Amino acid sequence: MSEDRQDKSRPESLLAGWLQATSEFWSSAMKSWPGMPENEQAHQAAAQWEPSLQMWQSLVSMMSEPGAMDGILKGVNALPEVGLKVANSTWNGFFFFQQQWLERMGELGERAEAYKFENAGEKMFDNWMEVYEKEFRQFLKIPQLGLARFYQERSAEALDRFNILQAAAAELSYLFYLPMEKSMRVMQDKLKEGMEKGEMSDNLKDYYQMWIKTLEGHYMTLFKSPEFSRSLNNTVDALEEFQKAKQAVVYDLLQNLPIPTNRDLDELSREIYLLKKKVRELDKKLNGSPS
Amino acid sequence: MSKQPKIPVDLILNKLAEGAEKAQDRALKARDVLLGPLDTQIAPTPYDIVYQDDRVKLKHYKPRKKRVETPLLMVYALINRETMLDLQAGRSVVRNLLDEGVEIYMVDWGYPTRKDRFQSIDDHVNVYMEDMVDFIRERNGVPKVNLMGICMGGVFSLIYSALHPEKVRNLITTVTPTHFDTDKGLLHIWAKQLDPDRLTDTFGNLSGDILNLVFLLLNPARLMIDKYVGFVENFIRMEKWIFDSPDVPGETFRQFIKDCYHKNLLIQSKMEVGGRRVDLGSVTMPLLNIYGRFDHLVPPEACDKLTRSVGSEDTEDICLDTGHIGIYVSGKCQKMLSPKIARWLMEREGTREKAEAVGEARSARTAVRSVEGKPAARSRRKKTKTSGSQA
Repeated sequence: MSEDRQDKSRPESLLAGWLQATSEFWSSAMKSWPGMPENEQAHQAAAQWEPSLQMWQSLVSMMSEPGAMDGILKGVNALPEVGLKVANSTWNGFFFFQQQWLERMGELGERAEAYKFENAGEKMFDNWMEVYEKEFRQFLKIPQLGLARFYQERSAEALDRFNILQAAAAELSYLFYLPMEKSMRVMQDKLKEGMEKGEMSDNLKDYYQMWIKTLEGHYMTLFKSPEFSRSLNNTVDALEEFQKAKQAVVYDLLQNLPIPTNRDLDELSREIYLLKKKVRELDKKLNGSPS
Repeated sequence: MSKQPKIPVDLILNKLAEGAEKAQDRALKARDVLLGPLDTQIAPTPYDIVYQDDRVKLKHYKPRKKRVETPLLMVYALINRETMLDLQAGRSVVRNLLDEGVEIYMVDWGYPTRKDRFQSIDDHVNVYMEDMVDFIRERNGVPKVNLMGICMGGVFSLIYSALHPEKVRNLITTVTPTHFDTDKGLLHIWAKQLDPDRLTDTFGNLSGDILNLVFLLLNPARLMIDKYVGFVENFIRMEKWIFDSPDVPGETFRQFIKDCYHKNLLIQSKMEVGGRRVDLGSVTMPLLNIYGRFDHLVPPEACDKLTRSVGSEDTEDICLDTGHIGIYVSGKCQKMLSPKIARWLMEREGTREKAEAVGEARSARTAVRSVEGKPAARSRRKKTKTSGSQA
């Protein structure tokens, strides 16, 4: 009994039952179709409907075959598996980051050394890029199929480059923020030292000048550091790549509109530039003086 | 157990209250300045546009009384605008030179657009500058012009003088980078990391907004925070100028970074412009090279090798105790720079007596002392160097 119930509750059996009922309905509909009408037009309309009904009946009959249903349902079952895989990657990425954040929280109590920018944030952003490249990027690099494959590939490429740019820009922004953080810590130490020695200035402007000078020094140190150069290079490279990818997508969109693109205008500008140059040279040769 | 320092909380609170009052006063003052009648006009000295080719214009300033026969063509950089030379009445290099009797032509490079991206250094030097020099020569009936370049405009002027020495009587370079193989300035460090081919191919022209951002990042603490803590009317005028940045044509940017910042070809006389080698040995006309000791954009190390690399025997270096644009906007330098340039030009015009007479009168009125070093020897056979701000 319970096996029967289980069998009946399985999706395949429900679908088969529905298809069977549908097939019987259309068969009886065909049989009870009124006889040929007397006028010509009605007869033609009925003749047009009949092949569609017959085709639908044969389709339903085919689908009610057990083997056909198995094939269809296997394909349908694959979709949740793909979704699960994507979700799995996302969860892995989040769990990895949660671990990183917890480790960083543990470092909060440590002193940040003044005027030192080695490994500043590098680890965190490198980890993110590692996760992105390992878990997420593969979905954007799936080869596209079909007539619109090139457009789809360019869109995926633009999205990929955008993500990389975001990561590089985030790292650069973080580096710009670091001198603020470090200068505040230096100020705290200086204030504490001043209080211990009893050498506190009455003028708030002195503290402001102290802070701005410390901040300036930190920025100068940062800008000369290899970490900053590396991050700046990465950001500029990422921006260039994203710009190229974005232009490719925009170019595809503008193809359908009566709007010339930068590429079109650049080609024209180059031709005009070369022509003007030629005209000047010829003018000088002819007249022996500038126009 | 360590002794905890006593924190005078009441004193700190009092100080904070005082500070808040002062900050409020300052804010009210700023509001009055901003909402009041502001005179922030730039470039007040009248001029005529006497020549135009594409986006490039040639401005003409006429002195009340001409003392130097050969007109001076001033070539500004492609970065920011030439209006800095005429920022306001009372702080105008142009006005001061006109008062000294120098007739001025000034290049206005305009605002490049995307269609100008293919213009190279060759176009700026051998087309625009060449045409303007020929125009001035014909208009004034003179065989040569005096040339004065500022920053990148100085590089263009130097290249032009090397390629067309027969058309240049005297050359003045101010805050002009010629030796780029140095790590003294942040720009030099950053420029070496750049890939100008990718940048130019991707973006075309170098955006003026990006340039503004780069210059601000050279010292964000001072230029983005400290600068705005207390300001006056003049500051607004300066703000107006400093953020007026045209785009730089892509091909010019590409060659400038590659040939100058990356390969340092200019000072080695190996740079090619328009298929011709720029040989600094061909710069045989008198050269006056002025630069700033505290210039963070073009450090002294980038400027001080020029005079020993050119072919001219009559050269002079002047190192002023100021920064990149301080030479043109600082009141102290204003008093010294234009009279010095005018006298230097007059001496080489063939009117030495007139130059000496003008120089003596000036020295009596503006007693500017040098910070260090000896007065420059005015010999046409020796290369001289002056430090500080002595005229």
